[in-house]
Formats: sequence, C-alpha cells, structure tokens
Amino acid sequence: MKRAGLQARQLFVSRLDDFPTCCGFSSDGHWLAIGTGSGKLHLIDCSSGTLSASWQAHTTPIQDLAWHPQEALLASGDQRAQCKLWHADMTTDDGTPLLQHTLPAAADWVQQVAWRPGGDFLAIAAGKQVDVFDRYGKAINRIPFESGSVTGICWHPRGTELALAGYQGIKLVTGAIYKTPRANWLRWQGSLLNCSFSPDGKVIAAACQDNAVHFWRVKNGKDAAMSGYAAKPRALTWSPDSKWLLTGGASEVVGWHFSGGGPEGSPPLLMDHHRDTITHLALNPRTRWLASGCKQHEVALWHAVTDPSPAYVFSMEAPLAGLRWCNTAGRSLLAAVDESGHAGLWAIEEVQ
Amino acid sequence: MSNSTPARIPVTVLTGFLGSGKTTLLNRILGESHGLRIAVIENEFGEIGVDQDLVINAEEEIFEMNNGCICCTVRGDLIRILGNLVKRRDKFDRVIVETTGMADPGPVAQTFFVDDEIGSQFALDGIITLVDARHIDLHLQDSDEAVAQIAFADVLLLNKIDLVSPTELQAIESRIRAINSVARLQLVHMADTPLPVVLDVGGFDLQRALESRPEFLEPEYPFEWAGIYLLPGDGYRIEMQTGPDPSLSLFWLPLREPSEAALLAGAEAVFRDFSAEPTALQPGAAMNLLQHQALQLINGTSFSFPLGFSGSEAAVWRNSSLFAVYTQHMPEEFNLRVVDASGNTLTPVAEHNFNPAHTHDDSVSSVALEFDGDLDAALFMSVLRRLLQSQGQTLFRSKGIVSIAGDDRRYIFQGVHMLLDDAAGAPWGDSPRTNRLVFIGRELEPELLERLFKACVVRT
Repeated sequence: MKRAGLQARQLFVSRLDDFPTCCGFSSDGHWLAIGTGSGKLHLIDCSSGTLSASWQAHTTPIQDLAWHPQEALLASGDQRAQCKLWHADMTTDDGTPLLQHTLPAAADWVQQVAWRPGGDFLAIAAGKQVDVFDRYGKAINRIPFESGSVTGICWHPRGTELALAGYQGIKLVTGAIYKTPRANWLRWQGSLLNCSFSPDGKVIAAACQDNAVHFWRVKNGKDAAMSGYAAKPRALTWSPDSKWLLTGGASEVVGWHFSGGGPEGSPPLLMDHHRDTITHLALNPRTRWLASGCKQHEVALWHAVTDPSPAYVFSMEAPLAGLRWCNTAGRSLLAAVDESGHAGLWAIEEVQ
Repeated sequence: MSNSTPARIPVTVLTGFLGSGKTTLLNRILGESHGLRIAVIENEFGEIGVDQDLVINAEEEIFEMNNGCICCTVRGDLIRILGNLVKRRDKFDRVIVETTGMADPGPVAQTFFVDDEIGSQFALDGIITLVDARHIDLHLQDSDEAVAQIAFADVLLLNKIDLVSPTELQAIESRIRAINSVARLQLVHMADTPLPVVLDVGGFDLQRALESRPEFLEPEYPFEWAGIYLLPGDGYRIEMQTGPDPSLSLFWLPLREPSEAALLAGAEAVFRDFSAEPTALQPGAAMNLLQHQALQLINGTSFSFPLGFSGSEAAVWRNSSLFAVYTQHMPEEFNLRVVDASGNTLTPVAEHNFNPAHTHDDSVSSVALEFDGDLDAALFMSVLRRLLQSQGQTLFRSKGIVSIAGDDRRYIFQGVHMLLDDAAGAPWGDSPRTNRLVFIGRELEPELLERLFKACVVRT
C-alpha cells in the first residue's frame, strides 16, 4: 500500500532573542503568540508570515497563554500573580495589542490559564487555588485545591465541569462558574502533573510524577494506571473521536485505544521513530496528522496514528518549548518553538 | 552505572533551625560581588532583604511517590520550580534552596535522585547546615529533624559561637562530630564565612570531600576531662565539694610536655588503667601517681586530698614538675581545684575535654572506612545495594570513592537513604588506588560494614 507523504512549506522562521516558554494560535488562525522567559509576548501574523508585535507584556516570565475560543483575545499568566488579557485585533499607538484587563491570580506563579469552551469564562490556576473570571474580567469564584498546588486544569468539552489536577488526584468541580460549585474527587495516591478530557468528555487522563498515565471514566469514577514509561508522560493528546489517547514519556509515541473494554488489558500502540524521550505531541483535529517532538530537538509528522513511520521529519535547534496545530482557510499550519528562541511556522501539505 | 553530565546546574541546600542564621547567610551571599548569578528558592517564611530578580518563594510541599516508600518522599514544589527555572538557565549559574527550620533535609535531597528530569539538569552540590551553638543542645534533645540536619550535612557552620563558653563550644563540637564526623565543620560568627566554603562543596563530586580526609571519631574515654599543672616543689592538694556523685575517680600522670597533644597521647595510656576498679580514697588521704583512685565525698560538704609527697612515691613526685590529672567527671561539677601550699588556686597550663556531653543518646553516627585493594564490581554493587535496601530507612547518607578491579577510573557513589547516584570519575593515573567509604545513619555497625566491604576486595 502506498502511503501519502507530507511536505512542509515554511511561512515564517526567526530566532527571537529570548527563551520561549509557551505558544498558541488564535482561534481564527490569524495569530501565533509566543510567550517568553523575559516576560515578552511575540505576535506573528500567520497570513503574511511576519512578526507583527513584540512587547514587554509582563515583568516576570510568562508561564502560560491561552487564546479565547472565538475572539482575538489572548490571556497570559506570569510569575507575579498576574494574568493579562490582550486584544490582538485592537492596537495601541505603538502598534502593540491593547491590554483589556489585568486579573489578579491567587499566588505568584500562574500555572495555567484556560478558557471555558464558548469563551464566557477564564480559569486561572495559581498555587493552591483556581480563580474563575468572566470574559470581562469580573471575578466569579475562587476554588480551593485541598491537597497542594494545582498542577493542571482542564474544562469538560461542554464546559460543565472544571478539572483540577495535583497531588492525590483530580478535583472535578461542577458549576465552577456559579457561586456555589460542587466538587467530586477522583482520588489517586500519587502526584498528577496535568489533566486532559477526551473530546467526548467521557474520560479524563493525567500524567503522573512516577512515570505513569492515569485515567478515570467520568461516569463511574473507574480508574486505571498505565505505567512503564521511561520518563514523565507529560505530553497527552486525544484523537478527535476520543478513540486514541496518545502519550509521550518514552522514545515511542504510546497510544492507548479506548474501545470495547480497552485500553485496560490491551497492549499499547507503539509508534517508533525517535531516539529520545518524546516531550511534545499535537494532533491536528481536522486532518488527524500527529506531530511528535523529542528531547533531541527532532519533530516528526505522522500521516495517521497507526502509521509505522513518520511522513516528514525536521529538526529544531534546542529542546522544544511549544508545538501546535491550527487549521485556517483550508490550510494546516504547524508552529514549533524551541528554548533557544528558534520559532518556525509551516504550512503542512499532503503529497501523493 | 550512569554517566555524569557536567552541564548540570549546581544546587546548594541550606538547612538549620529557626534563628541559626540562614537568612543572614543568604543575604550575605546575594549581597556579595562574586559574579555569580544565583537563583534562590526561599522557604515560605524567608525574608531575604536583597532585591533580587530570582528569589522564588516556595511553600514546601512534600509528597510520597506512589510506591509507598518513605525514602521516596520528595518536594513537589521544588520539582515544579526547578522545572520552570531551567527554561531560564541563561539567567543564573546556580541555585540555593533554603528549607524551613523544622525541615528534614531528606525530601529535598531525594528530589534530585528520584526525579529524572531534575536529576538530569541539576546536581546537588552540597547540604549546608547552620547550627545555632547556643541552642543546639536543646534542639538535638527535642527533635529528630535537628539530628537529621546535622547527619545530612556536607558542611556544618557552627554559628553564634560568641554566645557560648569555650568549654561549651568544645562540648557542642564533639556532640556534632559524634553524629557526623565527615562533614566540614567551620566555626563562624554571624554566618560570616568565606563563600567558597558554602558554594563549592562538590557533594556529588565527592573527590574533594573525601580527599580532605574525614576526621575519625575520638574513642569514648572513661574520663571527661584532663588538665596539665605545673607543680614545682611540694605542698599541693585538691580541694573540692559535693557534686552529683558520691565519689570522683581520677588518675595522675607525669608528663614531659605541657601540650594538649601530650594529654591526648597520655589518654591512651591512662585508658587501660582507668578501666580497672579504682582504689577508694578517704578525704585527707594522699593521692598517688599512676593509680586509678576514687575520691570519696560522703561525710561533709568540702573535701581535701593532698598530693602524695610522702612515702615511697615522694621521690617520683619530686623528680618531675609537670603532671596531668584525668578526671571521671568535669571538675566544675565538684568545684574541683588544685591549690598550692598557700591556698592559691592553680590554672592548668593545658586541658582537654573528652566526651564532655554526659549522655549521647543520639543514636546517629558516622562510619568512615578506608582500605586498599581493588574491588570486585559485581560483588561490591550487590553489597552496596543490599545495604541501602535493608538499612536505607535509617541510613541518611552514604558516599564513597572506590577502586574497581579492571577499571582505570575512580568509581564514585553518593546515596540518600535508599537512593543511589553513581558515576565513573577521573582516572586514577599515578595516584594510589584506595577505597574510601562513608556512612551516616542510625545504629550503624562499623565492624559489620568494614567486614562487608573488605570482603569485596579481589584476592590475587
């Protein structure tokens, strides 16, 4: 069987004199934002492939950023208890995006920022709390996490629940946007590093400190652990049909198939190509192409999850800081940034 | 055996009880122009006065790894913070982690062993423990953490020494030494110590740490004090009062030289005689030379015992003028004084405290082994691993540089509880191949350790 190949057309490449820590595409695919260790934000115009703005957004390193799911509104969190909302389509006199709101976080280090699906609320995890603000910057709620610092948060795909991950499990909060939320714990005697809902909202998965992946079926709280990883399987991504949970933490992409009674008791899919631990995974929700990045700076593009080898491979110059897909105007864009400041944007195309 | 990666960022852990001077020392390190860019992870109660970009306030979050092993308790906050910091490695050269006063250094140290990501990018350079000389006795009595902080240390800084008497200081030193005889011990005032002492410990690169030759423990003597007196002529006596015991045994020894070294040398000779049953001596009876005697302090409140310048011993007394007296207890407990014929109290020309602390119930001690011979790699590793597995809970630290048969490089290891980090070190070259191992822990059995590891020597 002849397999289709992939090719990459470079749209933008640059070396920022900075340490990228995170990156993300705006919902319409017009902007690529890169947050850095110096507190600067860089905004790349994807249609022209130019660096549109670079500005000192924060005084401390940027910990995380998140684009609003509909508007050109960017949330960025820093190490001094601040989260800022920037409007990329509105600029000030010096050409930088307009600062719409500065939101106070509960503790110095903002761990993660996450818009609720629909974009009416924003959750900010910092220290042992998660703050919920509405889209206009009004504080709604402060949700405590009882067993230590929150290491990751994730909204249910329909926005009904907010999951808080950390030591001893996941706190599943219903009604996080109301004054009186209810909480249900998914307990686990270990330390979780993040959490991720499957697109159908039925399963929540988390990477564990002790080199394992743990997941729960939300309906009945039934859980299972998949151990044996060489490193922390922090990279987690779901296929759009929720059938595959793909994980890093080993030199192979490790895939768990959710069908029938699985993945419990079934061997994982191993996608073998990299020679080092996979730290980043991104699955294109439309084309289902998978991008995997390993510690030794290599990025591989897989045409399909079950392919025996990648369709395209390229190298960055330092360990990856971000790897993202975006679909816009019929194009599939891939962004990769590394810790040396190397940033690239490519249009990925199919070749027969 | 893993390979060491030289690019790891050194981390110094600073421990010590509240009030021992951690903040003062930190402020000094940061304030000094040493050209180093230091990131500080301060405890939640920290109050660093220097305005520095890379001071991060951490709330200690200790958690157990899921395997249920107490030795795998780590600092979750540290994993997160260091993980974030590493992205900014152009901004700093090294990291200092300050723990809270009551902290057990175990979880901090273990973080660098248990977490692969942290261990591959950061190296524990050394554990510095600040000791408050004024309060350490109390701390050691009341808390296991204080004992652990001393046991874990690569460097011990004894601070606030101006607040204790020289005798007390000596007592503190030997009490600390009894727990950890291999750490570098430095007396400081207001944490005023040269930076290299604190920052270039090389805990993991043990080479230097062990090459500086760990001090071996002084044996436990049956006497607590000895002093040398210059006693020309005759008419001397001891005057004393009732004390904590109804008798006090002592031993007089003529010496050639008025030095502490001479006292120590003499101690070896006196040791045997002192172990024998003493002769009881009633007040007023003369003391003899070279005899273990117990001065009876029963009837009355003050007592006098002349030095024996009569009888057959008289000639020996007169032939010398330099005498050492070894006493079972500290003289001040009995207000013991050596006085001359006109009743003037004499001051000893030299003195030494042996085991001055009355009871060391600290069951923590250190064992240092040094012996020649190439070791069988497989046998040695199995002995070491079995030791860590079976005694890891009570073994705070283990370190060593050993000579493995057939390998021209030094083999270096360092452990915290059950966890072990090892690497091949520099080639031996022309330097003599030898084995040096150090263990610090509770209820160690020195003879057993020695037997076990010596059994690993390859017989030719």
